[in-house]
Amino acid sequence: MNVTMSQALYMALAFPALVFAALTVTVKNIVHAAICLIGCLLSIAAIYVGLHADFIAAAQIAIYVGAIAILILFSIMFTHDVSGKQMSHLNRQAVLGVFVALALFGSISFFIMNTSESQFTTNFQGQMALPPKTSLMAVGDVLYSENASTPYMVPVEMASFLLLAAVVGGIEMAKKKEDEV
Amino acid sequence: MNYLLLILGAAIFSFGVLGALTLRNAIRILMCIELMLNGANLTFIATASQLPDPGLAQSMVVFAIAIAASETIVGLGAIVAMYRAKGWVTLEQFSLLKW
Repeated sequence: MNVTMSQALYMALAFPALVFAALTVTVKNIVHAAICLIGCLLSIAAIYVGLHADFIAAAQIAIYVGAIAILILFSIMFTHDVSGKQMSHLNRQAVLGVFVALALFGSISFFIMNTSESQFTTNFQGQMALPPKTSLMAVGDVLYSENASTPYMVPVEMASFLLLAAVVGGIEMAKKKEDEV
Repeated sequence: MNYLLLILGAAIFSFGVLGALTLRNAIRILMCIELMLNGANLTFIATASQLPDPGLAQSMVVFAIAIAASETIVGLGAIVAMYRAKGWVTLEQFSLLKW
């Protein structure tokens, strides 16, 4: 496999994503871990831009970095765990966990490398000359189309209702109760 | 097919599994679940870029992001509630629902 221009670009973007993902898991300080998670999410957003998924990249930055990561940082501030300061940040089955994760990565990579390239690309080779739609139009065509082949209008509304219910439930769970000491 | 991005997605997913299996703090485990979801989303987008119409696969990622946001909100709400009740967020010590 000779390295092309785009592959070199992906490698340059993939490296920080991988390093930040590793740091998120291994670093001892939880606030540093949250910062590394933000770095990993931003690197992945950059890869999305490279894959012409600009809407997903914007959503990744707005939702993951802007909302979820900030929410995680706030929760870290709310739950300052004094009892855990002396303990290790790893649990008892840490060694076993490393082996399980390695085995998982090995088996997934094995199947990826053994899937022949033709299975993915040859079927679509003739159609690749289509004029590129923007990612936002492509997503909108699927999610809000009026033809019956992509009936995703109701699931979109259900997802938005799920999000609303989750927000209300999260506030209800996290707020201070009257009868609580 | 861009194998590099699929391997990267698998690696990020495996880092998430590693953290979810080995870490103690509940918020860090939630962060590792986010890593896993991002690895899966990256695989979706990398595969979508090979298709003539990437809209369907990218729409699935939109759903995945919405559900991931809901999951994080509920998880963090539960963690803050547990912290109010117990004073720690170490997952190994939670035995309230254990037989």
